Amino acid sequence: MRIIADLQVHSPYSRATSQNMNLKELDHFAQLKGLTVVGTGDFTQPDWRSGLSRDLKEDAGSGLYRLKSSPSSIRFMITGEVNTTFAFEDRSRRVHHCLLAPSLESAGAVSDRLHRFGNLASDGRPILKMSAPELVDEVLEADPHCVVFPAHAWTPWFGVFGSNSGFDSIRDCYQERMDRIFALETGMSSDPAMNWRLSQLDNFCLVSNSDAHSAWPWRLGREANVFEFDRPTYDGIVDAIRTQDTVHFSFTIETAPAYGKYHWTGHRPCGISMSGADAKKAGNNCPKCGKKMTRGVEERVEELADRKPWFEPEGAIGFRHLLPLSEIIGLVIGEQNPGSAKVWEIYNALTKKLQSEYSIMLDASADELVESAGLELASAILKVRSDNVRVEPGYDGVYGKIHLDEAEPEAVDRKVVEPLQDWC
Amino acid sequence: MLESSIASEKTKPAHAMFKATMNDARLFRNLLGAISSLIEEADFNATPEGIKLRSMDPSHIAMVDFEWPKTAFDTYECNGNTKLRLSVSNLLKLLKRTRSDESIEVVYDDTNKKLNITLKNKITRKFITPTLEPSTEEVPTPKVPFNARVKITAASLRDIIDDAQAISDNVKLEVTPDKFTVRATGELSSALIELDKGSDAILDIDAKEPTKATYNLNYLGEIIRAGSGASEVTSLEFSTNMPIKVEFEMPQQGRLLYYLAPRIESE
Repeated sequence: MRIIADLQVHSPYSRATSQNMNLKELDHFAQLKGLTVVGTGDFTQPDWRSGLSRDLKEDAGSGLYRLKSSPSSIRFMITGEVNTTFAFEDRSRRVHHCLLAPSLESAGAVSDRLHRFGNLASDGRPILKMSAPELVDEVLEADPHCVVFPAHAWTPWFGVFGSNSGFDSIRDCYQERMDRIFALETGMSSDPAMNWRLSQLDNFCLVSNSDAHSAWPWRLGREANVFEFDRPTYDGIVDAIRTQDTVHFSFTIETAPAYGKYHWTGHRPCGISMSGADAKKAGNNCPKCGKKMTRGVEERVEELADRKPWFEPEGAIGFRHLLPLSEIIGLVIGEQNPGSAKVWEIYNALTKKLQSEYSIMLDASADELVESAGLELASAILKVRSDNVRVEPGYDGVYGKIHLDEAEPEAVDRKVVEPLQDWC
Repeated sequence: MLESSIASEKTKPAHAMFKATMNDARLFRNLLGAISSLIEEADFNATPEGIKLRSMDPSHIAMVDFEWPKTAFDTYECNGNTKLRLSVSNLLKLLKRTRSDESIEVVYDDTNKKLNITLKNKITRKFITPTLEPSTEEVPTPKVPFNARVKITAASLRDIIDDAQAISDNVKLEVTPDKFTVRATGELSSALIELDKGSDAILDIDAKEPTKATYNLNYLGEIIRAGSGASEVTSLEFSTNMPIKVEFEMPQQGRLLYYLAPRIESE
């Protein structure tokens, strides 16, 4: 069966997280979305973890959990995210890491060790005064079945490759513990194709998660991982990631990288954004006010890439670009707010008829879509499905804007077009 | 005025000198438009024989290869090999309101690394634009055989491509000794356009073997739209699943051609 897993979300104990982010809401919207496995997020936060122990029960030795109060098919993986702050080569580095745990007991053991490095109660994503290798040691000594990997690797402030406080080499971050890191979360502003341009990432399995701060379906599962298993288990998912097993790890679901909040370089207060190439020419200074712009992921990838665009490593896990259905409906009916009553009315009717958002976005035939959604919305969904929409790139914390009317030449399917230089 | 300027340059042979004029400024603008469909910045190589440009688009899917001999200009002076990197979109902005009864003079100011453009009619308009640091990279052309060639009017080809673009993102081109076929298949509908060798739009067909290949319409559409503004006749040359060469016959001497990588289909 197809298992779609979004392993990285936040609880209401994390900053800027919606109060609707509780397990029941997560379970409800995960079903609507078509997810099978959802991360609990924030397992290091003691009150949230107590709630997990109270409201979840283990799913028969799978290493995953389910709601006690409902017979829902959604399974929860115990997950968290921490922020390590440490100095490297005379500069302060702040890097976010995702943590996966096979049980609530493991999560407790990890938290018991980590509380010495920071106040775990203060934030769902606590700040820990420790280095990345120390974090790996503490987590894996608590339980060797746990997993640590860099979260949203390219975001400017907290990504392992972030332009502000990250590294040029992932080895510099994890140092002698590099061999224990086998995955990397690409984040919304980059996709696997961008990451494939760095040979230093060849041994890493690229994973994608929503990092959602609310359970609404235009946030939850906007990026996810698609597996094929008889039943979902912690070990199955972790092993498929560890071994980059293309039999069981089918593909990742990605938003178009331009949709992410940090794709282009820009300066939000002045409303200025530009490509990395243009930003370089401008000396990375805002042309309006002269202040330094926030360097985007596109520029940073270009800086660290040692391969040309479109390179695809052998045996890599594939990916699909999708966008949230609520946003597509909003665009078609001219409604800016994806949470408006009009959008919900159409969304609910469609998911009721065609099972879930992912069924609509990934599986429904053109005829089914036209019959259920009408010609205009069906065409928009098919355009998104075939990666034929234009996205005005996001920058400095501003999401990209989707335009259904036209595609840019860049939207060409990279996998089926051989670059011209290969023929020269 | 031209002579005096040239004479003063000749006294300073250490400086690169480039100066060209054209009586119809719109020809110059149309050509820049054809280049700008694919590339934002380009290296123009000016030699005593003329101007050449070859550049790949940023995604390395398409290439423009353009050559304009000195005879295409009304006057042309160049004392050596000069590489000028220019923002094509910026130049087009300057030339946006160019009229056909205006002449154009383009002079490279080597001392200040700037391009001086003068448009003249009843009034004289002068523009100065900076040149950029040229790239050192040489761009080779695709080394592929071409088994099929279709010569077609640019306007007809543009209509066909517009029709296909309304249906799909990709277009399949097929050539047999007697027929040129264009197929576009979208999720909801499809289009089939067939042109026989004797039809008005087709000027010539030459196929060594039945040939077919698929190309991305975003690129091909841009190329056809851009080139058809500068030319009336187009030649398409390709082989099965190989890059296509799209050549536009130029009203003056010279050539404007594009290459586009194929979309590989697993049939």
